[in-house]
Amino acid sequence: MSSKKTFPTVCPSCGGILTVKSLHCAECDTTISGQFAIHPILRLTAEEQQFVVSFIKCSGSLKQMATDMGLSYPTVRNILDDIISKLQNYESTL
Amino acid sequence: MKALFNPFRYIAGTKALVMGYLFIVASALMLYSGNLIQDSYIHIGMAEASFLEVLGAQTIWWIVPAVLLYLCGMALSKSKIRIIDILGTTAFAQIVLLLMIAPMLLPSVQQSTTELVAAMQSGTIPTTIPIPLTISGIWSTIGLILFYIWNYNAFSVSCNVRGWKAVALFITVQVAVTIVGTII
Repeated sequence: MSSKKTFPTVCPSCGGILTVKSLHCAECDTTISGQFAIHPILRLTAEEQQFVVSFIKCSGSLKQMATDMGLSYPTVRNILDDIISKLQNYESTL
Repeated sequence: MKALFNPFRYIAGTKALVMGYLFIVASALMLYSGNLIQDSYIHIGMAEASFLEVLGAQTIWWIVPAVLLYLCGMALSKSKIRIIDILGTTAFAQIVLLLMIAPMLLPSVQQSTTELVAAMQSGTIPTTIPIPLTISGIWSTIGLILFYIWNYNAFSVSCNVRGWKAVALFITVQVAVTIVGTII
């Protein structure tokens, strides 16, 4: 499996939210079928998910993140606020 | 290119405030050396004023709109905004003023201005505008457009506001400050 593939969360046909229907174990070839909801964080873009990971790694220090990313503090805070707003919207539509 | 129109993605807060205010002091020195003063929000006129008066005027025309934009941001934004960011970014945006002032200090521009004013005072209506004044005018217009773009982006980044409401509030503050500045 190529690591460059991104996890699809939106249906390319109708724009609806995708759910996971089956999970497969590459070790023992077991497949589990069902209806599994995608966590709201997985619905963020790859850049936003990377931002969340960096935020956790920086122990939530926006100042540190701004330094690491070469951006100003309010720019980094705005990205975080936009992610929070997106997550709140996703959660409200669950 | 992004940094040219929106440097506040990369600089804000105390660093921008210190750098911005140093540029305000530098532009005040330039104005003072040319017997000029920022007598309104976006107008520079001739005046025999002390350096402190010139610097005071520069500071007021930066800080009043900045505080008004901060209040607008508080009303509009869902983010927790800091006054240091709006003060820093708007101070940094004053750098554009330096670009606008520089050509006004050129001897050819000053001479053309003096001659034009003298001609108008004697009742002569000039048929052509001297080339140095035309070039200076075009330069100042470009500077003015950049000044508004930088100030809007300063407001937008510092307060995390976008869209028509942000644009409308920004224009309201700019128009209000310009009108009040012209009256006083």
